[in-house]
Amino acid sequence: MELGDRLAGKRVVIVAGSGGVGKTTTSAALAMGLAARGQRVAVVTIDPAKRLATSLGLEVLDNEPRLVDPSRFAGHGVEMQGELWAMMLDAKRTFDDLIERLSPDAKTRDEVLSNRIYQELSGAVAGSQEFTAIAKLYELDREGGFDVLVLDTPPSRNALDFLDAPDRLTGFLEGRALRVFLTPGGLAAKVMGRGTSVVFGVLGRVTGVDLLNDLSTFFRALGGLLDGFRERARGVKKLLADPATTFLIVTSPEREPVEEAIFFRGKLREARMPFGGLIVNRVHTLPEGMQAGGADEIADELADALGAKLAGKVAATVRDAELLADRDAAAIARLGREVDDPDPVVIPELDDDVHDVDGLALVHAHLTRSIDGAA
Amino acid sequence: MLPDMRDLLDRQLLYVTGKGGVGKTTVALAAALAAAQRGRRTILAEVGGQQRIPRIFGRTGAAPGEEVKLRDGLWTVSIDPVLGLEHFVAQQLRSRPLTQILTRSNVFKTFVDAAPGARELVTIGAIWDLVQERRWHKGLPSYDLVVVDAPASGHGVAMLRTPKTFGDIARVGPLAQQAYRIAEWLQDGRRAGYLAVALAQEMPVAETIELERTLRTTLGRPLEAVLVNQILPRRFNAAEQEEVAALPGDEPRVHGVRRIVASHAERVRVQQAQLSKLRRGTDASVGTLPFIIRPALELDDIEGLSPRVQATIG
Repeated sequence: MELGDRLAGKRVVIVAGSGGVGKTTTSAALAMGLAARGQRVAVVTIDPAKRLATSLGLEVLDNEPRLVDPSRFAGHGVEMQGELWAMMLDAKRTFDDLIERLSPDAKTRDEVLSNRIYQELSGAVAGSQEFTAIAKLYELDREGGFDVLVLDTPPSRNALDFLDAPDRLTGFLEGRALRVFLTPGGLAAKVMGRGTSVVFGVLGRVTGVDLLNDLSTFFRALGGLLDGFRERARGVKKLLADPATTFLIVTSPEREPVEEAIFFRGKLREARMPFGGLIVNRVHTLPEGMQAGGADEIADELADALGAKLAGKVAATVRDAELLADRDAAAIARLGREVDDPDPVVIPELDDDVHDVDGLALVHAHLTRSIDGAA
Repeated sequence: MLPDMRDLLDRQLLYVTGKGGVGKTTVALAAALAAAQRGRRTILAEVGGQQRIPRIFGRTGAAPGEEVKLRDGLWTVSIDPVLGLEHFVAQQLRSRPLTQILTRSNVFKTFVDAAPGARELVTIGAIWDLVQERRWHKGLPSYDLVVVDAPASGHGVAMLRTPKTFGDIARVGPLAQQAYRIAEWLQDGRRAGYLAVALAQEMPVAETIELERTLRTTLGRPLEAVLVNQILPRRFNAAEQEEVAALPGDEPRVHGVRRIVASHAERVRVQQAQLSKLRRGTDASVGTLPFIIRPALELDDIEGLSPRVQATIG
């Protein structure tokens, strides 16, 4: 089934997969194609390569979608009937916006935003990309300004970090772990039969009492936002499971990304999240009409025309191409079985990197199979 | 005080990072093999729950956090942040009952799972612990060198930043002291070294140059070496390319040969251009590794690459 048909009626397309498999390029090409057909599409990327960003006019990182100038597509075989919007995610900014939105009043907002712990955590800390990406997606969906949102997920060795990010972060902000110890008569006191001050003392010996006091202040300040966070986490979960949301899994034919794709597919199934299809990037194929196993013959045949030395080098190159085609065909067969997408989209290895509108148009043509896969 | 050491394998930490899918595990293992061969007690640390190294050696069933001997002088561990935190806290409190209260209450797991950056902080702490003479957990052996198969660049650098961030949050007390000790270790050129793995493509090259800049600004440390992976052999000169392109015949096979050779030549051209761009853009020493066609590299392949890795970082 054609990818465009699979995505019919979808409002949110989440592009997942392990790092380095071409997620950003795939997301951009897909969004461009959907926009070309007349939809208003926003693609949210995390960290696109600079030239790709430049080709889309994304010099500014301002955390809001920007309309890609339609003239950029002219002369590249893309007839843009809709609108392509693109944005680069700014994790800290998204976090700050969220605090602003959820704060019941200006005082609470300022208290949180100026809190030392908040500033350290929201700016510098690893792992906040997963949360902010999904928060931004939710925000854009709620505002409803777009027909389709395409999210390029953060590079993560564990794609699951992304799925449960809202839960984990809300859990932390609720201060469950520490609240257990810090609340007088809280769980710690009840379960362990010890006073809070004892437990506080134990923790303080490790962390320093200053830190505990600062944390208390931090969590108190956040207290007013908690309902908002919980509601947000529920909303995000609902959005991820919505019939109008779909996950595409992108992989390359190499073993580790393939394993990760299979693993992620299993997790989607477990979590009952919608799966839209598999895209296998960077697949090596033999040119049409070439049979595998012909390299030695070719060396013999060409020896007269090219001389033995050059013919030998040609044969070695053909042999490499055959090995790669074999390797990739085996990977695709395994993926088809394990991911239960009998008909994955296969995008061939391109001779050059994709970093401009022409490249995106080429990838898109492969995505929609409007050109021959062997090209 | 350690002498001023230039060789990356003679330090305590070799941190291997780079864009996703470029071959960090391969290079980390090749470097660890070289260090072990040179007689250094070397441990290769995987993070994020990953356990690829035992599999390459045909081992299964290692528990997270377990330090597994692979061969003489070479161990591996998949860092378990929860276990690391338990060891750290136990050593701080020096009281079993108190530690047990905390362990049983699941507070470690909750903390590591939930607090932003906690997982990274404890992971890098547990990595530091591996080369300490007195380990957090009494009785565990000390290693000469830890090679880290680190997360992809963005996450990899973020992880290096967490000790300083948490130190600044805690300011005083044992946690702050510990965090600052780790931060100093990471910034000490005699003890810690940074290596990137890249491919000769636009995005990985751009990201490597960006990584070098970020390391300088956040840690004040240079990126010392880059291994560029999957380099194709330069088989055909311009005259030979033309000769093949001019092969007569319309049958699919001849057409296919022309295409395969032209495509190979084009990929080589793109790779070499990106390689030059990288060499111009970085102060690090740049080495290359050949493209090996396999679904995934086997131990033999990686042993074969080890001398080339050593030549670049030694």
